[in-house]
Amino acid sequence: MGAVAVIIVVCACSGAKKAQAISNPNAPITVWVDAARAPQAQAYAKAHPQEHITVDIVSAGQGANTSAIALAEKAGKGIPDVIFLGSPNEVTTLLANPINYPLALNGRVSKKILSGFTSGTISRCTFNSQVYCLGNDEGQTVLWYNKVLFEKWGYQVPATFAQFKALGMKLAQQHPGYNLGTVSGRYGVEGWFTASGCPMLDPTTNTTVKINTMSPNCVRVGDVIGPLMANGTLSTLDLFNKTYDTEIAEGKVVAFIGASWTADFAFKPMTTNSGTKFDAAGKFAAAPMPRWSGEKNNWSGEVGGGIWIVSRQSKNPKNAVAFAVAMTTSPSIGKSQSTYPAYGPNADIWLKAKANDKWYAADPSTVLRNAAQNVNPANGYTRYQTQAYDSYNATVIKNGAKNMSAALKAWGTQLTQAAESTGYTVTH
Amino acid sequence: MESKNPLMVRRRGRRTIPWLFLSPYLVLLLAFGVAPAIYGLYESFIVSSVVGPSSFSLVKNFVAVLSDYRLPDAAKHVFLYLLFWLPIMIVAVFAIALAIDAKRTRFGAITRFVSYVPGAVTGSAAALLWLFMFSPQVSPIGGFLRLFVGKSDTFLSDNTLPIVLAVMGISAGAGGWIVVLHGALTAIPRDIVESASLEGANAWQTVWHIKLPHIRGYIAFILIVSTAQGFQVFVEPTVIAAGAPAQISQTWSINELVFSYATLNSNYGRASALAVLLLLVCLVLAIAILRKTRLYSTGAEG
Repeated sequence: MGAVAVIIVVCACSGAKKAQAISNPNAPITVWVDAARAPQAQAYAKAHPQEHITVDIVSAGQGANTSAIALAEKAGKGIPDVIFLGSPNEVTTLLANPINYPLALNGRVSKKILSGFTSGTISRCTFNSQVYCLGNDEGQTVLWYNKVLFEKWGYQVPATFAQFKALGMKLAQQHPGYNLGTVSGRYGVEGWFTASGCPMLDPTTNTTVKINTMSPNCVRVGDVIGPLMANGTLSTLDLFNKTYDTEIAEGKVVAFIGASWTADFAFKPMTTNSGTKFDAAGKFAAAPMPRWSGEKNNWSGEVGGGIWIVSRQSKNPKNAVAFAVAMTTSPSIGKSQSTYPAYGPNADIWLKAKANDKWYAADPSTVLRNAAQNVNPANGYTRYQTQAYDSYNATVIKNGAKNMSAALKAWGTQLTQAAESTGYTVTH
Repeated sequence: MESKNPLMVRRRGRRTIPWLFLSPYLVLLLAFGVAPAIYGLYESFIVSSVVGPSSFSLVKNFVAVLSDYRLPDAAKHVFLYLLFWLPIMIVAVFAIALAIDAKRTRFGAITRFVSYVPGAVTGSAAALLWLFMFSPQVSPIGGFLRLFVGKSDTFLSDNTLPIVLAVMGISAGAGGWIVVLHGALTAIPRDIVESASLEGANAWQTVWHIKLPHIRGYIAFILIVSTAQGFQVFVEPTVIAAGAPAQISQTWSINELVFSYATLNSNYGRASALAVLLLLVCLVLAIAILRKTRLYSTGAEG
């Protein structure tokens, strides 16, 4: 009994620690970035020697930063002032016990700058009406399509999902072996279900979430992808799966509902390697997402997109916030960033370069810009996103072609369990 | 007063010397084995909530992990893996060791060496190697694999991974055990084997009644080490899952589920609770194997 009493006392202390750090305008700051973000961060540190910024290059892997910060918080030292997260959903874990890492940015970042970000990144970063992160880049989805093949075969670019489904049926008959993209994992969950407004990762606060995979917005997705998975025109393999990469390299992808980075990071590199039979240069173009019947908007989904977070324990929040703002809004980032910037003025700079890129069959900039402003606000960042993708693969991808309704139901059950086990109250 | 007695001093010396020899191991065992286990046990009682203070509960974390919908699947995967891997490996290792022992020629030495070589490839590298072996597009046995794959053209999935890991485990682990068992077989006194054959025992009877009882302890050791290792399988499924994205669950094995609690959810209480349960299962199995095979029994008992 004595031991139990001691343990209770010990944990009562650990629950109520963490006083706000004392601010010091001259304190040095430490930032954690992944390898891709390192050059910009180092350039900023070099340009601001008086701020004594230490740039640590860390892994961007799922969970890597979160667990490292949790350990630093536990040790009470080595906590970074600013971090970049490649898996933005982890902001929700950082906001929860035992970490409580992010600093609320309202009042520290000007309203003018905040309003420059796409509304989607701001709303995903907002919990209890406080903004806790700044968007680095966007993975808004569009309909990538092989313009040359479409013209050769006399196909119309589908404007609605009914047309998309009809196209899939026709393609399976006329050109078996070709496909309209993949619905595996995050490409299906975000590119299709989120874009349709299906509530599954829909946090109302950081402890409440809405899940209903049997709602009409989910069922209508199942009605399109089920038959197309069955006839093989929608692949169930990951975009970076070896088999699917072979299909890309052989020019078997006719269209693909995918993120803004899909062309630059999948189609381009996979078709320019030596030995590939198919050269994609001059073939792919971007079209707006197809519309669901009865909807006015070409809703888009979001696959990927990194964020920046400032520590509430930072001894120098002013310099830390300034660093995070510079990493997202400085015009040089717009020029050097490899993916679509979340900050509007930088996106314009970025899109100018895309408009002149001869690899595309047509200038994708208007479509990409509109899609960035049309990301469906239905879903946001949650602590069970990884589980959501895993359970989606175990239900909808595995059994959806045979019995979509049962698969959606099973997915909903697993999502609810995943949400509850990560501390959410679920509404339907 | 007593310590002046020379006999007592000698006796005490006799008691302390083994401890001196053991102490480096004991220090490491305490620092990296026992202490973390006790800390883990303590953590497993701390229930952290998303908001608000943590609390103490003897059961809450255990109930939460035991009712997690991912645990039955993870347990099934690990169980199937052990079911494929352990019996096949034990039989194969024993058979090859016997074959090498029966014909003590240069050929036997080469067989021993060749079977040991795959074990030199470390777990994560072996996982990558087998990832290619089980990808029909690049595998030398791709044509054979394609007999079992559908339209998706991928062999790897949650359900086929136990087979893949069993093949990996045997290729990587068998060699070392063959060397160990062969060593044990050569240690059996020749005269026992010879007198058995003089009494008219055939080869099979010699194996079953003479050789197997002599190396029973070694087989028990292989079983205990492999069972514990198998239950904690982590690196191989993690590496293969990273190489075959979205085909294999990130919480395929029990230990991966522990890892996911700790790194993705920062829920150390649940991670510890499941780790403690895993430790208990391995302990119970180890004790059962020890009793069944009488590993530590002395010669007097037979």
